[in-house]
Amino acid sequence: MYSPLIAIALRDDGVDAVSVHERPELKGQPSDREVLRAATREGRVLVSNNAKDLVPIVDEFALAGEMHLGVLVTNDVTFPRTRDAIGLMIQSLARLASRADDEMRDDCQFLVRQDRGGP
Amino acid sequence: MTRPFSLRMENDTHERLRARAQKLELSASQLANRYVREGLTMDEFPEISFVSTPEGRRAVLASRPRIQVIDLVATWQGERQDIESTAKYFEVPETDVRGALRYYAAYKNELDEAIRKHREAQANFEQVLARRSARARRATA
Repeated sequence: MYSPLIAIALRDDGVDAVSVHERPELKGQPSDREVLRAATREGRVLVSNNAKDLVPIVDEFALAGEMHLGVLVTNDVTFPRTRDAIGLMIQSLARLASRADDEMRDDCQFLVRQDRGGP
Repeated sequence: MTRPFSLRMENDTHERLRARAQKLELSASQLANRYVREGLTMDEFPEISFVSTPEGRRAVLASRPRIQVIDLVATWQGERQDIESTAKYFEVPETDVRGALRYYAAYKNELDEAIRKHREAQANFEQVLARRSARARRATA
């Protein structure tokens, strides 16, 4: 779970991002499965640091033939969940958001760190 | 370790327990044990609740069940054990962070192990995906 401030800052940068915290129907939803379905309905990629819970769900979707628009997993070492690292997360996600909408369809990838001035 | 314990239960409650246990593929005894254990813990730590995940039951913030206690603890550690910064990061009241930390103090070994496994899973999965990508690049080169 990341800070809701990240989605707010991304929107300020023109990226269509939303935090689960901002969705009353998902705020109390403990199931990552339902959160992934909600992301798919809204045409979104799901970003999470919780590989342990999400990877089995991605596999479950594949086995059931259920489509999603992608899952981006993060590493707590690369992207620490602290206020100092919020900027790094925003830069890295903003860079990725410029890619084609369906590029990650049914895929699961790790978010790559994009430091300011990086490639 | 367990010990036998008998109690008188209302008929309706007993039926609901059996039905719920069947749905979860648990015995009524296992589910009753879980309810009592977690109920006692929630009485002691009112800021904490429990949810089911693919990895089993997890302690979460009662007010924000998407936030696991291990998330709060990891951020608190990353924020040099600053409760105010941790609360601001997740936009939750400081009382929630304090409650999660009281729970952490009581179950420190268990939660440290959960954090260790969580990070290990991230690292392992990242390596697997990197190997898969490298193979795909070689195959298309």
